[in-house]
Amino acid sequence: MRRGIATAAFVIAAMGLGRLITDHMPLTDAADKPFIQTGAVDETVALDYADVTVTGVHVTPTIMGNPASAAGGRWLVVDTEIVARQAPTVMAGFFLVDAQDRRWIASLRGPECVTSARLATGVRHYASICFDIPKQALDGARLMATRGPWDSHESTFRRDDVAQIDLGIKAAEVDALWAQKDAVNIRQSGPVAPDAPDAPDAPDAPEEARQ
Amino acid sequence: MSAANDNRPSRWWIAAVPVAIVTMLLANGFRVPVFWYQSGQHREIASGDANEWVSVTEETSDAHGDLTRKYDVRFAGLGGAETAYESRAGEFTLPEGMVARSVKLDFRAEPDQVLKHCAVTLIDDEGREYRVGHVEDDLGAKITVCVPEETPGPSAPIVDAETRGTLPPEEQPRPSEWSASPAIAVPADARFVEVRISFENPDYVRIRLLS
Repeated sequence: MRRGIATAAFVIAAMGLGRLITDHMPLTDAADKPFIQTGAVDETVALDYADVTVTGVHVTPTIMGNPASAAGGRWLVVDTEIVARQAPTVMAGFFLVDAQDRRWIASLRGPECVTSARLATGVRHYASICFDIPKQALDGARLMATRGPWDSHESTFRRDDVAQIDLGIKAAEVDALWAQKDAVNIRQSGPVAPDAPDAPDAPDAPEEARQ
Repeated sequence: MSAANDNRPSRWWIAAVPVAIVTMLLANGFRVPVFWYQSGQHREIASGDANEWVSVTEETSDAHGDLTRKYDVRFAGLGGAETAYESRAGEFTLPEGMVARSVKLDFRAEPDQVLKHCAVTLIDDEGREYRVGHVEDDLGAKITVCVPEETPGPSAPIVDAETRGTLPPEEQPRPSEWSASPAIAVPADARFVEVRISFENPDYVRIRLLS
């Protein structure tokens, strides 16, 4: 009899412990979720490893260069400034999420478009990320920026800081943005500010100098 | 309960529990070496103070198997306060408040030792790391960070057909003693406490700068 009681107590205690573990330990979803830090254009989003700022957003059918690159839909070009504070860092995860939570990966097809940034500590890095997207992806588009490249199970940035930056595109603006025809010139990514006088491809440089 | 001795419940599981726990930890434990230990500087293989010779013996491997890399290194001081620095696209001016400091290092090694592709890291009193020469670094010198540019010595064989210690035709052997002074972009007012020399994660050599 006493043994029966002891066994029952043991089983109940084991179940209680199990419940404590499932309630208080990060399991399943919580164990995999990244830490999302949100922001908007021209706001600096502070991540553990870097500060990310979106400084410009362009929608265009054509990225200038030699050869120029035409979009299947439209190019959404996101200009960023990133600085690593603590240690040299590689950020390889730049992707876009639209209002329906669909994801769009960055394209390397446009001249000077990049999909990753290698950051030296303390040196501001400029990079333009280009997405070739359909019209319905413009509304509510957000840039996600993190260290691990995006993959289908998001395992590369689990439990890591991810910047989610609202690009400020409202549903009412989509038609006007889609109709824009002006080509966009993308500056080379790297440590030199795009509008700095010693930028390798200053605006007044002849086209051949860019190659 | 007297008859219970003949068919009491099995208790082998009590012994199996610790075995199962250890097996589970071991099965998951591969993450520690793969994702943490081997992906950063975690093993100090030698250390010393500034201005004293530090003898280093490092286990490494090439196409022919395991070998040891042997060299002596001495930190002789920090110099320079250039504002010009190298990027992939050429020279650029560092942002205000940052300078390129040269790390003066003296080396002694047999001419057959493979000493290309070293990374030099400066660590300041806030724990910030500034690095040059690592494969992921876009800024600064590459490959010949720790060796003379004209006579860098042999490369590690990456296929069986290559022999260890061979030099390209017309390249002179490396002298047995030389100095290198790679430049690293750092804040002008940073106080450095440590310099690290590393070839492969997780190994590094630590030289203390302030005592």
